[in-house]
Amino acid sequence: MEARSSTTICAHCGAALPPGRADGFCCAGCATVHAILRGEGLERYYELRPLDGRPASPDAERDHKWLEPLADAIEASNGLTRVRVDVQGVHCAACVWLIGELFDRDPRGRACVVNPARGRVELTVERGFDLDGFARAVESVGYLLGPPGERDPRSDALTLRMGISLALAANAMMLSLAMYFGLADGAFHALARQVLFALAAMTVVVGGTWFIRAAWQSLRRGALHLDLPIAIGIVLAFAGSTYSYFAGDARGEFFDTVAVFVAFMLVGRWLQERMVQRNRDQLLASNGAESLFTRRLRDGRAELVRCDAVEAGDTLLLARGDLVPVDATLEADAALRLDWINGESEPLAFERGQLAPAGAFLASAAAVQARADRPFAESSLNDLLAPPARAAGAGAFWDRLGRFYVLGVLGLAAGASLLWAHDPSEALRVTTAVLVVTCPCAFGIAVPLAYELVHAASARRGLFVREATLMDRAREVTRVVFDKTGTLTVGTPELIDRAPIDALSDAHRAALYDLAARSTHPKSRAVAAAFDDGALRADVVAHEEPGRGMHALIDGALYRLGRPDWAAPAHDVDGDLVLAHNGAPIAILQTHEALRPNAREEIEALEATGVEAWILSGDATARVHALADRLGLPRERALGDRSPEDKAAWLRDHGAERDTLFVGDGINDTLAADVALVSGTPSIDRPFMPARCDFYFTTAGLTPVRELLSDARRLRGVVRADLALAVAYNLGAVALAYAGLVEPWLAAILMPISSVATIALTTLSLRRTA
Amino acid sequence: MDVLILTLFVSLVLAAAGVGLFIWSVRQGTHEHIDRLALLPIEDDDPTPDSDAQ
Repeated sequence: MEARSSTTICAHCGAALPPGRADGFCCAGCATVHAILRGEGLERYYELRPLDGRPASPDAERDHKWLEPLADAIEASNGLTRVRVDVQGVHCAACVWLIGELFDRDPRGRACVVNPARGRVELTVERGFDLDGFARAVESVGYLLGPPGERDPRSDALTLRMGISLALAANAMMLSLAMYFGLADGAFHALARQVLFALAAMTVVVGGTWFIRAAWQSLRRGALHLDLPIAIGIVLAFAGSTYSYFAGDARGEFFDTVAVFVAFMLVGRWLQERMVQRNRDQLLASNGAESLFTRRLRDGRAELVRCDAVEAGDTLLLARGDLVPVDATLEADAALRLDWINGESEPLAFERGQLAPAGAFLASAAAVQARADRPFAESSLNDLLAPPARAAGAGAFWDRLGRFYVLGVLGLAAGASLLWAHDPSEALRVTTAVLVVTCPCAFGIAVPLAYELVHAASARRGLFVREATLMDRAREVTRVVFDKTGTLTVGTPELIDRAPIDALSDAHRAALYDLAARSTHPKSRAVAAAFDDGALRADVVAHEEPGRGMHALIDGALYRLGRPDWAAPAHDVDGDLVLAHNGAPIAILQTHEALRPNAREEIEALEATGVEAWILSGDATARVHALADRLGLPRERALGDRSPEDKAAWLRDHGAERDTLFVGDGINDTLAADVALVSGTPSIDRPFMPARCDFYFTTAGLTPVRELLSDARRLRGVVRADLALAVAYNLGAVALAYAGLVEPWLAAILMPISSVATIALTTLSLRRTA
Repeated sequence: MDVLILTLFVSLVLAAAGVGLFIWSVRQGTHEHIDRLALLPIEDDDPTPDSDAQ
């Protein structure tokens, strides 16, 4: 089956095509994966998958050292072995099917269970199963595999409590309906009261204790959490009803309302936590330095060790794509990518004896040895990977509201007692009625629903919220600071002008393609990508010199493609990349970093809404200024040559903890992300940064970032409207209670009405967003 | 009156059974991978492993 085709959406993922893409795919990743799926006969994927727009990012060069202990366990087993790994990027039945198909290609694989919600794969395999091959196959079609992370057990507990409380509350309502419709005495009435009491007590034990425990823990920490008014409402309403039950006053029993209230509050909490938990589970876990491995040479053998076990003087064996865990002296020439630590987008040549900085990745094809200069504990990586210490100041609004609410409810209850002090039995009933009707439905269920709707809408656009307080903070943002490489740019260069290629003779052009297509350097790949009809000659043998370029003897002539001073040393050429024929430059090529699609338009749109855009980068200032020019930003808002510490210091000096959203992708951005009020990342294929950010996004463009800020502002308006409605309801209901008019049947009607009214208001207000 | 008590008893037993099934379902995690369950009819039976590796 052919992929669904359209002129406006990507043929692989269904995302909107960015301007200028004429091949039918939104990015190179999707085009690659589409070709692989077709080549492997897996086109059925396109019949099963929804069109929800998540571009693929195939990566065949990921580090798989963490798989080695698992593979050893498989080899050591005589029967079947179950292997659990986390997976990132699975989001629909088509993904599940695709991973299953890839698994089934190894006959020693017996069962593969993919859980998209938890982002986990459980494999049952025989000895000899090629685990590494399976991982590479899965990652080649755009998913990522990682070691299994720990899951928060509270998530299942909340689902259980909610379901049980709903069942108990429904049964309680059924019994109380019989009473409201005339069952007022007799043996069955007495039995119904007993069962009702038991059902309410069980609801409080099963569901109410969730809020009571949370409120107690927050009080012990000296904080006033929103769970406190909910817990107080549950405890006092149940206690008052219980007293009336034993005193024989059926008019003071609000058991059904208490049970329904607890169930509704749990539904609200479940909604609140579900989306955030799901978004977290769908990213690979990041356990800081503990999840980094390297190879160390000991007694002539390479052993796999955790990076934090590396000591000064250890000899490390680095393969292509490996991370340099500590500053280490190279024992051979190598090319290193420093984009993770300083944003520098191009691989740099390092010579034997030079110090490779911690956080660099080996970019050259050949493995090299390096001697560790210091232990991992003294590595700069260790500081960058330390757990973030974000101040928990985001819930200030809710803290204030909770405080007023608690004091208000307690004051109203005291007022009811005083008002009816002349009649003690009525005083208890009225006070209980006040506590029942003032239960905080609005922020117990309607507000969580509002957050859920906004989080879900963001997820559909490709932005995933990891922190529940994100929206509360995002509405304060007046400045967005972007990292450069990998954030505003896609991290790969593109050819500015292909005219020098078109001007070449056919023979020279063919030689250029033969060199460029065989190179691993991003600039050479950009040159190769400019060819629509390139064909490799099988008889050409090309050689790559790390950090310099490619050379080959073709038809007796020496061609070089690379740095001008290396390709054509006798000529003074001012170019980015030069093709030389026997030492003479024949094509001077210029590249620049490819911008994210719509980056310029989105920055203009941000500025139009009053939000300042800045660039803060570790890359050279000249390159940062050039990028600012392309984006239409003033150069004074584009700052380069900043170390991770400099970035964090700049943000701190500019009050970023109050009003700044920082968007970055590398480990060099983690300190800045910790300082800013809100942080986000587009980089989910590398560890650490997503785990420290409030959100991540998977779209090629920056549109979800701008929409996040506008959604946060709209959400504030909806929450205020919900609270205003709740205040109006409470004033009316308290007046009725003070007048002694709130009977259990009226409370049983009023409370659901107030909940439904706030839910309807929320849903209608956010309909356009959702 | 007796039939009402019987009805109440039966309804509570049914509710308890429903809660029991719900707890079993949550522990199994079935609510979390509906996508996979949609493909269950075409899956083979899961074999029992002899050992776990994580």
